[in-house]
Amino acid sequence: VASEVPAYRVGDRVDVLPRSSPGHVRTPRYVQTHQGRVTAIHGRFPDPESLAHRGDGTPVRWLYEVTFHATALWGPTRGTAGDARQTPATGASIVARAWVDEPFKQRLLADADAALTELGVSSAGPVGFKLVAVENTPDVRHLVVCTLCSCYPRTILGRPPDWYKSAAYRSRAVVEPRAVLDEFGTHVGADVEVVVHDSTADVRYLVVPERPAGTDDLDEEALADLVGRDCLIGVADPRTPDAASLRP
Amino acid sequence: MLSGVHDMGGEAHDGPINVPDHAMADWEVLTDAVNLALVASGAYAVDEMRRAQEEIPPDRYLAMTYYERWIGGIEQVLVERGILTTDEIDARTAELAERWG
Repeated sequence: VASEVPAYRVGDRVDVLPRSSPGHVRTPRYVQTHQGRVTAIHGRFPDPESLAHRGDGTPVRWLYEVTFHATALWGPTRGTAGDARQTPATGASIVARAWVDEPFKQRLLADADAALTELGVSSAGPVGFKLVAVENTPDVRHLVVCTLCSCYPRTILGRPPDWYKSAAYRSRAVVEPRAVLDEFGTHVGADVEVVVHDSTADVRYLVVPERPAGTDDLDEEALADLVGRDCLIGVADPRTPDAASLRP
Repeated sequence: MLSGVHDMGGEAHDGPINVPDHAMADWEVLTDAVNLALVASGAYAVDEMRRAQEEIPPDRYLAMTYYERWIGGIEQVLVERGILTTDEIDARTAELAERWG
């Protein structure tokens, strides 16, 4: 059993060991041998590398979110120095509530699963996971991917779209997120930090996009209508009220 | 280090991201549901199914569609666990092929 106290603390610098063991490995190759910083501790989970081989999942493992700078992973040519990625959604209604209720939003960002119970919804399902909500701001944009398979907050966003499962997205989202966003028509300024979240089976992400301008008069239901699936993954922005009225 | 073709972060899959979704066929919806039902029933851990997909040879992994890989993973784990045998699966497949041509 993992110790009651995690070995690392938020802020610690950690070196990712190379993994040469055969079998199910949940450490993506592109972070191996690189140094990152622990940015969150998500609790203890049965070890998927044991469960995958019919083990009992023990010892249970502390699940750390580790952030890497893109230039450290990929070199100077394919990212900007401020970029980072991190290891470790009824989506639209959750976002609409967050937009109209700031204290709720803060609770959502602090502990998404607990906050969801306030709305009478749950991310629980046959395949359990912890939900983490991340907020876009004028300075930071979040993008969600699963490079190893297709982990996705299915219980609140439904089944993942085809492109999310494609080799091109799984490969490119971590190395050239700005080019990927451009392909979705989402153009991010060079002064905006892009944070890519590489999901695990146990921790999955919901992006809370920025509330569009000109929506002060809209109620929660009308706001939710602006929030499409793709902006909950981070590749798109919410519709503007004018665009929404033009939808078929 | 040893890692399979599934480990795609930063690897050379440089094509455009094909954004439109295809309408899911009945067999794909069924495959998704069967996997969840098997996990919910305790037949296996979802990590096992993921690992079994990773063991598909790279050229086949890349050639298969998403839910074809799921079927491969589910079948592999059900055989490993002794819930079904390959003979039983082959016999049932032949029976259905005969009935529906």
